[in-house]
Amino acid sequence: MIGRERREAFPSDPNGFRVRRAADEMSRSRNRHEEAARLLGLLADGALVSSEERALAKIARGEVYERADALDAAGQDYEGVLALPEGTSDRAVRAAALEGLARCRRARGATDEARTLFLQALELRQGEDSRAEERIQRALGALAEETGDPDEARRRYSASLALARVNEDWAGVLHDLEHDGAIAGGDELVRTEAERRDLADELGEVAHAGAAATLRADVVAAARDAILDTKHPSSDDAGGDLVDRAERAFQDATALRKSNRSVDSLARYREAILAFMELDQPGPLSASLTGAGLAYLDEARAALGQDVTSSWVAMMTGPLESLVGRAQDLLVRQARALADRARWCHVWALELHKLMGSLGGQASRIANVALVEEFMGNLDTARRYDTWALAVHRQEGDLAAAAIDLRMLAIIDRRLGDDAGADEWERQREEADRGL
Amino acid sequence: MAFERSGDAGSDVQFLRERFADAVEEALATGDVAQAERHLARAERALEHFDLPVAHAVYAFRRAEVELYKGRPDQAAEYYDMAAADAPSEGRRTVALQGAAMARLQAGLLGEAEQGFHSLVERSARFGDAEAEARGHVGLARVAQAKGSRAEALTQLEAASSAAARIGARTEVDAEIATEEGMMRAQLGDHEGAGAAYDRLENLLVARDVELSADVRNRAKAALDANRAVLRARTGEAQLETEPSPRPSLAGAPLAPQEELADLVAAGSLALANGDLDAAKRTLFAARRRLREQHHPALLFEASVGLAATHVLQLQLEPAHRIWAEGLEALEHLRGAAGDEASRISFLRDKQAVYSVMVRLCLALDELAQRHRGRRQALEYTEQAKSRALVETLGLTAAIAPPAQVSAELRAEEQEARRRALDLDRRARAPGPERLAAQRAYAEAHAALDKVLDRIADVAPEYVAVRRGTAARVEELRELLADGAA
Repeated sequence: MIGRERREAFPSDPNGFRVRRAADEMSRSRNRHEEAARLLGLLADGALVSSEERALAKIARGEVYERADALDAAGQDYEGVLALPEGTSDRAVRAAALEGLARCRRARGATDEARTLFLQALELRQGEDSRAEERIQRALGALAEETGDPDEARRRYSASLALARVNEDWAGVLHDLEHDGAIAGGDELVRTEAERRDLADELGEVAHAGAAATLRADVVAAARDAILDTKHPSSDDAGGDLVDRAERAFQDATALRKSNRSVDSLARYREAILAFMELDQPGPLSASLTGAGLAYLDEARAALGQDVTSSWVAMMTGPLESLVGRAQDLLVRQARALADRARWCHVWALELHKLMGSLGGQASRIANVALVEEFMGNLDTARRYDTWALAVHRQEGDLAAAAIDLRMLAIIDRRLGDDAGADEWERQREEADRGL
Repeated sequence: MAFERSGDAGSDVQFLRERFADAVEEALATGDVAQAERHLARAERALEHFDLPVAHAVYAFRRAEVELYKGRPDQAAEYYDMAAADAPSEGRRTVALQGAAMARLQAGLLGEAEQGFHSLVERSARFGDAEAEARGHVGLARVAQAKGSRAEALTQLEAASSAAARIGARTEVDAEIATEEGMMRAQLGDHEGAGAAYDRLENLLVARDVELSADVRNRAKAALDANRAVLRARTGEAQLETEPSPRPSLAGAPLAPQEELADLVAAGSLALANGDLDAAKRTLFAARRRLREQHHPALLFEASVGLAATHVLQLQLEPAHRIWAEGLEALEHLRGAAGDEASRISFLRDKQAVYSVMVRLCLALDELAQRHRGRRQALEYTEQAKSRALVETLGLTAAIAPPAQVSAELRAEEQEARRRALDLDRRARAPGPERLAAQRAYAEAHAALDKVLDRIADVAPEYVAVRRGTAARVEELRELLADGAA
């Protein structure tokens, strides 16, 4: 009986996965926390759901409450999970609840209790989930730093640093180096700063991405200036409310771009971007930025000329040194401004996905930046970005996105002259396609 | 056959005496390195019971060949040396010495290779072995070419031709000389001379009295066709339309890895000259991947330059920068092993542009990819290129005494100016607050040193040429160094 009723309410939705995902999307992407909490309440407070479902929903709702800064409500949900009899939820669920509660206690200034809860969560995560382990060690480091225990802080940061390196969470690596160096001071500070500089230089955008990545306000400001300063003729579309106008602008822009009218699409994307900014909806804003980034890249390609390389090669003679200068000049004069705007769009979107707490989303934005790098001839950078994106997408189980990364990697390797490498990526892509 | 059984001391010794040399040769001819190594291991066991110099020589010679096949020419050279030391006859010793010098040339040990070929020439002249003498001169020509001394290379080829003329019959070495001469003259822009050399080669290949096997004849013909095609492209008579056909193998056996790689690099370079950038890229990428395992810095440099150029032409400056940097490393390796100080100066004489391209790439990347690292790197490479010239000019690594005609007073002035410039250079490159002031003072000190050198140039121009990194011919330098040593 119960089973039948549940099927009617949430058809083919084991463990309320789709409901949780929809609520998560609503909260993260559109900042509609209240609606998300109400939706999750159907499961969290429902009488007809299993205790496991209830626990998962409470954790999801706790996170929504945290985002809405309703820490007491969030804490209650996490406590609710922990109050469930042992054995009704698995270790990962209990660990998530402990970690959530620890965050709430820390935010309320209850550092001792927070530390105890983080340590309990760590015990459950150790050897099970290295990303969670890394995150908790970092939180413990920060707690120790706040409470004036530099030795403990350094121990914890050292542990999270080691895990971050393994997890290729480069933003985490940079964070831990910064804090460890600042606590140690002296030569150690000089060493860690040098390593941070080298890593940032070497890794580019990937250095600022990952589970521990935080928003770069200066980057967002620069991106906003670069993109929104561009003047486009405004449309006559003024009817309906802001949400409708924003959605319409986005859809029109996408339709224009997909019908090879990228230059026309940019004005509509700009309207969508402005509207979604006003609505404070990071998800659709990111989608609009992604579309605009792709349109700018189309424009850059058109500006450089489709077969520029072959005609350029035919024209070029002389010492290689001058050819390098002419290649640089050609790229700078004809394509860089547009490519830079495309890059800013994707980088801004990357920052939004950090805000939304979406690691997979970050990976996809990094892969979009890779498109720009590949176009500008920075094949090594593009390859590094796509390799990182692929690893994250695979970890997140996003096979469709991983297949796209694999296709890009094959293209890049072929451009580098590495046919064998390209064939291997293709083979993996076919395998991924079969798994979809 | 009983002696084929391994593990038994008697059969191992019998194997070493009767089958070993052929067995290794056969294994290499089919590319089966593992089998060749098994034969070597068996021979090593046999040597414990069969301790004769001749046996050691046979073992060392074959071991050298295997090492060469594996892309370890420096090790090969050492085994050839051992083979030469234990060789049972002058003829065998000559072959081993030639192998050692060739292996060192491949390893980029230009100075040591040059020394080896010189010894070969001297020994062969002493024992009246004109063919080995000719080969020694061909080797010296290759060394000279690798060092950028093309005039010296042609002089050595002339000497090789004279020696070859004394053999009494035309042989493979004549074909080798004609091929090398054609290529060198083509690179010097002497198209007519190159054409004449190729014609000479063609005559050799069709003549019945020349001692050439069918295999060698076929391979020389393929090389001739490819070289003539390049020459026609150089003179604007024709476009290079196709990739060169692969070099024919010897009696169906696979080419040795070094030869295969040389062909691959040549094919890539031709494709690049042809404008077929994708083919050039594929070929040169494959060559570079294998060259990193095979120790062949000269080819690695060539392949890197070609591949980087291909990327530049496709507006892909980032990989061009990475690959060029690897090419520079190979070049530095070659330079470091070019021999004495004069040789190292001479080596870089026509290669400063390699650094300039790198600096340009760094600056381009800095602007395009908005990375401050590019500008910093450009400065580093500029410093490296400068300090390379500086170090050589200042004579940090070896003492070159001015010749006798330079007065004691000028000598003392030069020494003092050099000491001061050297000291300031060190301070100018060390981090710290004094750096800028030291850089300015260094410029003045170097100008002062220049003035002294100008005065010395009136009485000893060749000495100043060496000091300024514009060294002339190797003979002049050798004389000069001999004077200095005396």
